[in-house]
Amino acid sequence: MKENRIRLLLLGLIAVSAIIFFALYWNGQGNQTRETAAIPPSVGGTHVSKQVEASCMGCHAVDENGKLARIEYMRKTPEGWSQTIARMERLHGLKVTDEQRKQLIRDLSNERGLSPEEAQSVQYWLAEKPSHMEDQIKNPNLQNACMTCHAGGRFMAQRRTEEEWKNLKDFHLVMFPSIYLNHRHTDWPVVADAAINYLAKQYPLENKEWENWKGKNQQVDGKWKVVGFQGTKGAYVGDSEFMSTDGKLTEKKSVHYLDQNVSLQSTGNVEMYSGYALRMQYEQAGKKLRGTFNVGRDGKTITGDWSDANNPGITGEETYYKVQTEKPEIIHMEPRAIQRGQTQDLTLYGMNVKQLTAQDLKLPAGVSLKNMFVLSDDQVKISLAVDDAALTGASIIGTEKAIVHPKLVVYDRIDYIKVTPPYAVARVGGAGLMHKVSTQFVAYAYSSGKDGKQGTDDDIELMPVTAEWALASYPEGEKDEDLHYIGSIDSKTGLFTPAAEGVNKERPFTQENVGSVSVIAEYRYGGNTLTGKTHLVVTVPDYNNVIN
Amino acid sequence: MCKQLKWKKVAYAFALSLFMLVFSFSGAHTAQSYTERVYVSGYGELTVIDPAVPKVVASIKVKGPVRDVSFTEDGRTALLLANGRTTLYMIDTIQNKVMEEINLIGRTDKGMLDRRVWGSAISPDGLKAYAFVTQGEKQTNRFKALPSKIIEIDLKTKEVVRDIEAPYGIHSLQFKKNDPNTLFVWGYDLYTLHTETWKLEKKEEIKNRKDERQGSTNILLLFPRGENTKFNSFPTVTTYPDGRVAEGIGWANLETGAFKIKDFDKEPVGMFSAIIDDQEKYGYVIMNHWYKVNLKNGHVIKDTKPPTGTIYGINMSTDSKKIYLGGGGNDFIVADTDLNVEKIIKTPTDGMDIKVKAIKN
Repeated sequence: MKENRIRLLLLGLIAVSAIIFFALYWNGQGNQTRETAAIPPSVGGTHVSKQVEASCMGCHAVDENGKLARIEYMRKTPEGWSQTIARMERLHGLKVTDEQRKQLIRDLSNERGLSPEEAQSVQYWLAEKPSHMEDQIKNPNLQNACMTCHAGGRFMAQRRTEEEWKNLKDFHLVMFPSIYLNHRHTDWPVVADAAINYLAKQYPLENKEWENWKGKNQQVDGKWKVVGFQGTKGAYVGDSEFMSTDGKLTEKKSVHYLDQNVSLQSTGNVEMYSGYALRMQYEQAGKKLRGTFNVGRDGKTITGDWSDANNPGITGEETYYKVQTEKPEIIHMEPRAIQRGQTQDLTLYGMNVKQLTAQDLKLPAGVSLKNMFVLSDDQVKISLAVDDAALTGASIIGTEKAIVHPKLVVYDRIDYIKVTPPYAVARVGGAGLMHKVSTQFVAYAYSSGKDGKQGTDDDIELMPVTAEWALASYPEGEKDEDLHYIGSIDSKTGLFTPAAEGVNKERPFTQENVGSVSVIAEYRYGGNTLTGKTHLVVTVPDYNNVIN
Repeated sequence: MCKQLKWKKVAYAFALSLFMLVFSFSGAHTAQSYTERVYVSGYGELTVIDPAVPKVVASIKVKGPVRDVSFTEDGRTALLLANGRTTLYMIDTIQNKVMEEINLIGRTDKGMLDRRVWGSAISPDGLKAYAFVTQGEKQTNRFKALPSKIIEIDLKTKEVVRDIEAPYGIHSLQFKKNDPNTLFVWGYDLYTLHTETWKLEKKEEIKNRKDERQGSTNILLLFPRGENTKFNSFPTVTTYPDGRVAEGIGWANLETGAFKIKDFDKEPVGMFSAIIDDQEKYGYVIMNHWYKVNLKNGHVIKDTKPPTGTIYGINMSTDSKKIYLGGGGNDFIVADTDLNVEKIIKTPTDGMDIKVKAIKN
């Protein structure tokens, strides 16, 4: 009996233990499953960021894949996310403070941005380079479905899953149903499907470059040398310093315009997105400038564009070089092209140039260094003799001992000039909310190259030249009415300034100050006058791309 | 003396009777059987003009820019589309006031149903309205395009009572003249909707022609005509297989459905709207140029510039004697049929199109 009781007691204990064990086991398993469902494969269980969760999850809940619906199926540039957030505020009731908006753009760009290479391909779009002509996108479906309204940069600056690209079609059909009528030259839904297939393959969400890059951060603190070019004002060189204080990045910059002998200082705040994309807000001589720059993969260069916030047509291209003390580094030379049969003085700009010797430069055949005079550690004057048989074309003259970024161009003669931009667009503005968009015209001297024929592949771009500028009717010989209303060009610099926007009561039919003209540049060279021409369209303000 | 007076009375009575008889058979009385009004689709209002003066006689306030305007057979009721193509308004054209407002935005089980109208028509008896709508569902965080449809609305209850799926690209609905059960549905091609059988059938290939030799024609039917005449008319652009692109005028007889296109003998310049006379002899088209065209051969008889710059809408008086211009600015212009401008007045707002309607007295 006693044994039986003990047996029963033991069996009871085993049974209770088993119940407790299985209860605990299943409980643990259950918890594990729930946790798996609750924690998405995002950073530390947070979906993009705390700010994104707070501002976006009201509508973009975590879906069956453990991701924030829609948001975590696409990647965009800071500008792209800014547009998205602006749209959410405008149409979908998102309420955020200025600081929260900035945080959202920062977080989304860092977590769901583009790789440096992806962004570089659309730098012109992000910087809103005026009068920029995109490389021809040959896909006819993109041309007919998307590019009838958008520049290619709009979609090339995004990465999406196939489903997200498809969502864009529905978005357009619901938000802009007149798309059928606007595109009645084609069957838009059919063409859009084909375009979306192309976009899904060409610009997919997943990308190794981005996966490898994500989470990295370039360090830009410290000193940099700067070289830039502004149409109508020419080349400039200068110094910059980035400083981090309390987590905020600022920049101080001083540049010197070489042709005009004018120095300008600028200071401003800098935001870094995605670990490499710098967006600056400067003050320069009472003007507000905005900068759109990218730090190079090696962290030693920064390239990009700046523009006048109140006239986006006033722009410059700029490159920064990280200051080092190891060896001479030339970032600019003036002039950059020298003529055969002459001895010419050049000024080289850079850093550590006191260390530069004649042997550090590898000059092309027929070019010899006659003299070198160091002006400072940043500037050196050299005298080059170019014989009659010197090889024409552009040559790299740096060596292991001296870094020289610009190429030295040798030419026979200037055969013609070419005016840029080749197709210019200026925008009226300045009378109301919309800014003027001026156009900076530049005349470049060209050599026809070995074949002596203008416009062939062997033509050599030599340098910007000082021309005289004028406007003419377009087409030639047609009415010149537009000339009286559209604005004016500075005959010395080539800067076109458009007139004000809005109806002009003085103009027949009370039209706006829009129109189309030719821009003529005349350059006096060797007793001859070389003429270049381009087409300028002065149009309405760009209401479509106003973000906030 | 008394006898003389009596004879005078008889003579007066005879003369009055004779006058009344002559007047009755002269047709002059028809001038009083209707009141002609011009309706300019303005911004935030339908502007009503008495073209005989001309002067603005009323501004009927609605939300947003006005688009389609259609009329009952007697012209006493109009249906107009405004408010970003989301709201239909019933208008009393006698009192010049809004009678009813029909909002087509609704809800689905997944979100908001966004409907935009691209062509609407009131039935000749004023009991029903028909509208082609593009539809989209606005879900919590995405948009879903839904099939486009023609909907039938009971104007008493303001409820959608029937719908039928319809191809995208439709932008104008018109009742067949003398047939209240058939609607002409203008899109990339011409369809008919039979309201009794509730069937939509393709009637005429315009853009998508099987016979490619006839080319592919695009019609801009934002400015349909036919409220006052039996013809709808519109500018056309036809692309032919050899690459040639021709601009022309198209018109359809709204009694028979007969459809014609005649290319102009000029290079395309871009036209927005067109009107033809009731004899099918001359057509008139406008935008940045203003043509008078021979409809037999497409010859542009006269090419002039609109007097106030770009003009969107061209129409014709009920008696076919005057041309009316408006839209694309805030001017209303009366001209003769040789394109000579007679009068110009200002309208309160910018406009899109002008409609002419003879309202039965």
